[in-house]
Amino acid sequence: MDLSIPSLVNVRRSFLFEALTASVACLICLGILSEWGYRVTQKAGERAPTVVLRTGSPALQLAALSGFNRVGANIYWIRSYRAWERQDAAEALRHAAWASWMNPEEWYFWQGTVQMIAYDFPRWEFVAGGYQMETDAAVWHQIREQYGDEALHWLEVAKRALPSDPRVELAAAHICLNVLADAPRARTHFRSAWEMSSEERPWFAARIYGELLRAEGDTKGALEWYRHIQPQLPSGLPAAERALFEQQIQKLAALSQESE
Amino acid sequence: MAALAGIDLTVEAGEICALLGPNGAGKSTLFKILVGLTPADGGTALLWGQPAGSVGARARIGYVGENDELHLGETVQATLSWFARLRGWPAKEAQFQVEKVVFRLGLEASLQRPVGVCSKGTRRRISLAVALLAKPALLLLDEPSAGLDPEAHAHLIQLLKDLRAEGTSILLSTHGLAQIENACDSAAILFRGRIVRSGKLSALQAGMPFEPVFSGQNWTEADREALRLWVEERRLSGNWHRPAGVLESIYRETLQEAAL
Amino acid sequence: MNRLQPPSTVKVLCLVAVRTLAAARRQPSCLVVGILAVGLLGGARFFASFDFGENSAGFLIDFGLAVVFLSGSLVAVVLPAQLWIDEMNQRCAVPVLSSPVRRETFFFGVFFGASAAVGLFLILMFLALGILLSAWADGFGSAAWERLMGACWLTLVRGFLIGALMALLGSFSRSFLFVVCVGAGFVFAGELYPVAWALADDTAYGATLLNPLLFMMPNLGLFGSGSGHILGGAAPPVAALELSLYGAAYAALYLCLGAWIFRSQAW
Repeated sequence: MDLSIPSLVNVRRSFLFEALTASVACLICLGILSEWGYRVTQKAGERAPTVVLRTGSPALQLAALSGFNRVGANIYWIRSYRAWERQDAAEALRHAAWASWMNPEEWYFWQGTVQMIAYDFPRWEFVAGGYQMETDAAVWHQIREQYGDEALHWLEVAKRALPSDPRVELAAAHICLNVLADAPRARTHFRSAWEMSSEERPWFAARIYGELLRAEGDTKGALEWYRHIQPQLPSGLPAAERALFEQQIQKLAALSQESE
Repeated sequence: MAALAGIDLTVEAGEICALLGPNGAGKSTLFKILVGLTPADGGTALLWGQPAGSVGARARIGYVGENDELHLGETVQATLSWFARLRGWPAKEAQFQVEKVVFRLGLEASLQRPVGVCSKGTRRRISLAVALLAKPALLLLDEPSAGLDPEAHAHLIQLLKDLRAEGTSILLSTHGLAQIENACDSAAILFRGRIVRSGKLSALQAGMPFEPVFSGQNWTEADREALRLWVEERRLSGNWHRPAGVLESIYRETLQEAAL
Repeated sequence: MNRLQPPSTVKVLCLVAVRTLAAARRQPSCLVVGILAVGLLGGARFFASFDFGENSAGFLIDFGLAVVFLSGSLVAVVLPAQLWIDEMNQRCAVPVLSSPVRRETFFFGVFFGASAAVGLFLILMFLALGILLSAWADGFGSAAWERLMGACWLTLVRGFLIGALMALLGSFSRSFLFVVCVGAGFVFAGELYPVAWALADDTAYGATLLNPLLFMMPNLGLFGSGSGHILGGAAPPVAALELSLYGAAYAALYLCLGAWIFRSQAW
């Protein structure tokens, strides 16, 4: 057995060549893969609300990322409720917003947030401003309108998270009707809610649409609407209120004949 | 600065060669290059005409490093069985080979114990057992006696002699010169990456003076010579022995010359 | 003297993988994380009682998937790091590499062993989750079980990908802390992929700093699943096959790079 190691020469050329080749190959592969990743990510859509992850605490980010988003949302909703008890609008809204964003598929948080904005905040601001209803009715209407619009804006965001949930349109309809006193706009939302195909169709929304048409003086339009809806009403479903529809049709038919 | 240069070393079959040198001379580096643990920056290292560190060369080598690098949580039995399979022993034969090596190295009592709880001496023997499972043509031992008590060391020397008798070439590095002197057949002294002296032990020892086995208080050179002549004239039979530590003397002398 | 024939590459790969798996079994981290995770899964019902949502089954599924995600990520980072550091820093690889074993074979063997350990952990977690959901969640039938196993497959691919990344880091690092921190950082960044994109577009430093990072890492968030898919059967936006190939491509790249680096390591 012979061990022979001749004189060493310090040659690094082969390693440098290998390193260069490996780097170039890596860059090419990474370029291809990152393009693929971009296309796949576009297909998948954004999974986490960007706004929350930009502005939230690290714990919040981790909760949002790891799937504990529901737990995080519950915690923030409880915080929001405590702020609501103190009538701290800014804090209540901030935490409620995070609850909605952390669990955007849960209607409960959107509903609670919107109701706070539309019904509670105006009252708090009005009282905090020292206004009186008897003398400052205009201020009251202005405040209500401002918060009503904000609530509708929130519902637009909710629609993106719950595109086929009729409750979003119904909430918008109620705000238009009760807060903004905008019946035509409310009517549009009621109709949109009814037109959404869902397992439990809100038949009452169709009825209220007809009612609002009649209240605006469009008796003929209301009658046509009821006659259009009536054949579609499912039998045996109390929520469909078939008897009420028939009653309304008879009433409106009689009114139409009188006017002719 | 080259760690090793111009190494040309011959270890015959069935020979024990001691590789000596101060700390930092390059002994461990040489071993690591031979087994492929450290790639050489340049030049060629050949074993049996094959590049050192190649799979073919490593198939014929057993290596025991300075430290016992074993999985501490694994039992001795599992470690040896695994290495037997890794070396290519079929499953049934592997068990037999493990038993042989265990008996040879006296590891019966430690078989079911995790490696981590074994003493340093036992771990050395385990490492040696792993190397011997390969039935190596060349055994490379880096500081095999480090940390061993005198009894374990004597056992190791006897084992090396047995392996030599079986035809295994052994190249070992050690600082315990006096201990290895009686076992090795040749030696090579490494200093700053170069072999400054090598050869058969008998040839190395030839130039060293003989000393009587016992010496008096005031012996001069003339006294020694007179004694030698007196023994010769009377044709007395007997052996002149060198006192222990001759190899160490050779070692020290050589290093001093090289440093100059 | 009889000359032994070195075993085949596949056999060596299997031997190293099995030994690595056995070494993984001895690591306490897996057991500790597993016990905590199962405990959390068991507490899912308790947390569900505080949920404001309507769908308690959805909560249980999301919570369970989150527990598996977190524990799986932890194990996928820490376990391979520990195994690689044992081989590299503790030098347990030395007796193996001084045997007639190719370095690349050893590298892939350790990777497969570590991945098998992580995979086993994930499968057990998903089985535990499935059993709990069958008992507690309304509407969790055989179809949901199938979709859960589909989610398990994607999580396994993700674990495989993370394992490849850890192998790359382990191929050159001798520090456990370095491997774990960098690995965990990459995993976190991979989950924040869409956010990083948005930031890269918005901010001044984004293009300079974030784009190169996005270039180097995969979007790990794609491999997650939610209750919408498992319970509701909503079709996933990206097919499992495409995702698997995507993950495997990145893993292959990391592994090739790691094997190349490992080849030139000195002990």
